[in-house]
Amino acid sequence: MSPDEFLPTLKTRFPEVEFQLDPLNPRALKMSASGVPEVFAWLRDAPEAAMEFLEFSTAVDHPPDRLELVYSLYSYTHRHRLVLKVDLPRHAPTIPTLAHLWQNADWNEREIYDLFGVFFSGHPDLRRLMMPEDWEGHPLRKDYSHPNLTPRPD
Amino acid sequence: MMRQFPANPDLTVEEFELNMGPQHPSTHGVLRLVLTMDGERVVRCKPVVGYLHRSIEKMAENRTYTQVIPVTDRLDYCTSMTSNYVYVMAVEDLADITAPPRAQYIRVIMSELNRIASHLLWYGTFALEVGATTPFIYGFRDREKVLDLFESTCGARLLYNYLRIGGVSRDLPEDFCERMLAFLDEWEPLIREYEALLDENPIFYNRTKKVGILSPEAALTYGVSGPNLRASGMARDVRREEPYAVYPDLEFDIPVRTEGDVFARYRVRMEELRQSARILRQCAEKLPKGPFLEPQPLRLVLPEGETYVHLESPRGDIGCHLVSKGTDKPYRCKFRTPSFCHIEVFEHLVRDCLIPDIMAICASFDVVLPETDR
Amino acid sequence: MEPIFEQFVRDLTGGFQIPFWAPMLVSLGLVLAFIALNAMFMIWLERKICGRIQRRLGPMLTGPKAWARFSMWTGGWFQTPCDSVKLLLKEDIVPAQVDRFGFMLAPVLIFMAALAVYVPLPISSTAHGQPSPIVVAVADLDIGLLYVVAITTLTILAILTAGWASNNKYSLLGGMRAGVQILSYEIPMLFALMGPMVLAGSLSLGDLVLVQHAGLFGVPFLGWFLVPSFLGAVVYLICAVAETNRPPFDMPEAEQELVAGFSTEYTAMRFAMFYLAEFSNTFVVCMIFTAVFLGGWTLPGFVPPGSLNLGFFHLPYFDLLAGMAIFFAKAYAVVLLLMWIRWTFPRLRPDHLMTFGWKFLLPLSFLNLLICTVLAAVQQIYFGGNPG
Repeated sequence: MSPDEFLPTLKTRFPEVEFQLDPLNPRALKMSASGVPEVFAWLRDAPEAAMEFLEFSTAVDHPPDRLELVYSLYSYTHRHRLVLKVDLPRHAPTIPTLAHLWQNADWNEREIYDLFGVFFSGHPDLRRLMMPEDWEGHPLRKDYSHPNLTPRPD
Repeated sequence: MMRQFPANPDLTVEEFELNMGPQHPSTHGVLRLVLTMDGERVVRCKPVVGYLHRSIEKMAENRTYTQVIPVTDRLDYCTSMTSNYVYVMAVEDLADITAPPRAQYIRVIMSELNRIASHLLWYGTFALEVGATTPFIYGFRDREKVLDLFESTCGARLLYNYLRIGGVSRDLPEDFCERMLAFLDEWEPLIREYEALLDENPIFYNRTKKVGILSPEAALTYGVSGPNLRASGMARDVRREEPYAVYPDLEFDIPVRTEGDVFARYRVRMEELRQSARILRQCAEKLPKGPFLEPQPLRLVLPEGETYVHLESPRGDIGCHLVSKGTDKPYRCKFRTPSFCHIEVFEHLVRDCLIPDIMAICASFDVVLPETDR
Repeated sequence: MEPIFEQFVRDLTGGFQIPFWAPMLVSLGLVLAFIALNAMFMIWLERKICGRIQRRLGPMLTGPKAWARFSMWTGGWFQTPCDSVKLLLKEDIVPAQVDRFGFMLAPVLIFMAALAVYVPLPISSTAHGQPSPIVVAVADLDIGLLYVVAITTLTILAILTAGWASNNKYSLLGGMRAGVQILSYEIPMLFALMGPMVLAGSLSLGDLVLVQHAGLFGVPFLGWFLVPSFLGAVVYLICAVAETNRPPFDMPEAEQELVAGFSTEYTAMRFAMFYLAEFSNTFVVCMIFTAVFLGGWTLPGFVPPGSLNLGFFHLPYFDLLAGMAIFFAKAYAVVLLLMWIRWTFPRLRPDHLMTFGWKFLLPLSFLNLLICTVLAAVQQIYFGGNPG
């Protein structure tokens, strides 16, 4: 199934969650943060979706106010992929964790927490993954600054 | 944690923490495992990564599209070609560029040669972890010959920087196919020799059979891919699932084992060596003439958009999520790396194992730390 | 050693009575020199054999260049002397957190055991084939075999001390592994040696060799205890390799698991002591195997003359020298076997090692003892007395 085939099913199943097609990425759906664990749980378990594989989850920083989470799901059963994108407020991004659905969401979310400062509520062990534990700031944010970080000359 | 010794209440047994790595002879690179031990038995294991974090994703945001290619070399130094490839593929997908057919074939040849080189390296280090020294030298000896082929093509033996957006940086040397076929003729019988060193040895058999069993369900939920997933009984290969480049024209098998233990992972990789050789022979036969590069402007500007592409690296499913804002630099470049997922599995697999099993399991997953930490 | 030495001095000086302590000092010097030189040669040989197995050359650069050009076996002769000098000159580090006394004691202890075990090992004899041959050993003890087994057990103490005193978890694990391993393999090893003991009716290593030379059932070719006590020989060899911590039984110092096991914290000369003791013990194992199972310095049906007269050159003590040559040739054959095993096998897992020792080797050694007892009884009844 492609995202536009998923869209009506998801809209009827989860009326309270907003879904829309992403103009930038033909394989992606945009959704509101309110549906996060439920929609994913359904996508994993429903036989017509059967997304047993969380390829990765990451974030993209869009200053000044938006931080976008990207989840890429893949189904080996149906050989289809769905990218789900969730917008979060950039100043206090919080979202429920997916670590209970896919084990590898655990580290992916730790990495996002580390590099983007997204807080995952309900995560079993939310610590920095890449940077030292006492590091300040979240390096992959666009406005991150560090004395050693200078723009590359053109 | 203290607990009383059942046979004698006066004695207490205490668990202790063993910090294995980041400097340890067998945690390839700088993996750190914080182990809680009960004698020789592992009670808990917490992998700690990040010692090799070079912020490749941040660096990519500061460079033009072409300048990122040498950075991707450093993603996984054992298979630079495939890390090059996945990035180049993402850019081409977004810019709607198609590499000429000859370039496609050259890329496949390079990927498969790199797969051989990487698996040989793995064979050597894996055997070393279970205590056999000689296979290490055997693996490295033959890897050298693959590296010689690379050197004659792009001048580098480890970090190639060979692929370009729209093709490859230079054509193959004239006698490349002959030399590659000569190497394959000489080397393919040697796979039998590698196997003879380990397969028929009861010690190796006992060390690897029924050790570190990964069920297909656990493999999926941990995001395990590549040979490790195929050793757990799932015939999943990006080259088959979502064929890229010229793989649809090539004949090859996907080796699968159902046991999911260390031995199965070893067998799958040995079979993959044969399949890679098979692919290479077909490529040498079919390699078309023509241009090897569709030249691109130095400052390639990509239209706004985003894409995710992935391909089968020797370690598994490597992917690149690329976001463009219509400038000459990537806005966000995320690499999905197989080792990142594989290291997380250790936590689950080494529970209740003995110390030697940790080594066998870690080595069997073929993790490469720079790829994990990026 | 004593009678030979006395005879030698008498022959040389014409009746000089040597003081009682002189033979001891001389043997100590000889054994020390032998351990050092032999270990150096063995390390060189190990590296060359390893190179041959792995299709490379091994050390080639330290030594006469002209020889190295000739063949891989003539290159790199000075590698181990150079390494020894390097180890001698390195800084001797005692880490701050270790138990100093135990840390310093352990290398001495392990070397002591390695040295003391040489006492009853017979390497040759004079007056070959005569009613009372004189065995060349530091002292051919009546309980030689028991002594050897007892002294090698001392190694456990040294390794446990090293592991405990190093105050390092890897060292401790290594020490514990070594303790368990040596203790468990001691038992099948002793039972494997009891077969030859029963056959020979003696615990003296010299007697064991002489009995083998005489042959079993009156047939000299049956005499090597390798034949009647074949199972025992196999079990002994496996146990002995396990006791010397050589691969594939090198769990106590498994590099990939425990960094360097009990010797992790040791540097320079203290580390060299462990290394030296290991190689020395390996050779001792091969010597014991030669003496107990391979007929020591004898060859079936071969009695060397007391002196060799080539007309232009008179060689005294020829039987003694020929015996030594035969003995060392056999011992080195066993060494080569061990090296071959080392460089082709993966390492065992400690629990498999225990299972193998207790559930397989121990019953096998009992079976061997039974076979040997039956054979000894047959010999006693039909051929009279012990084979000797």
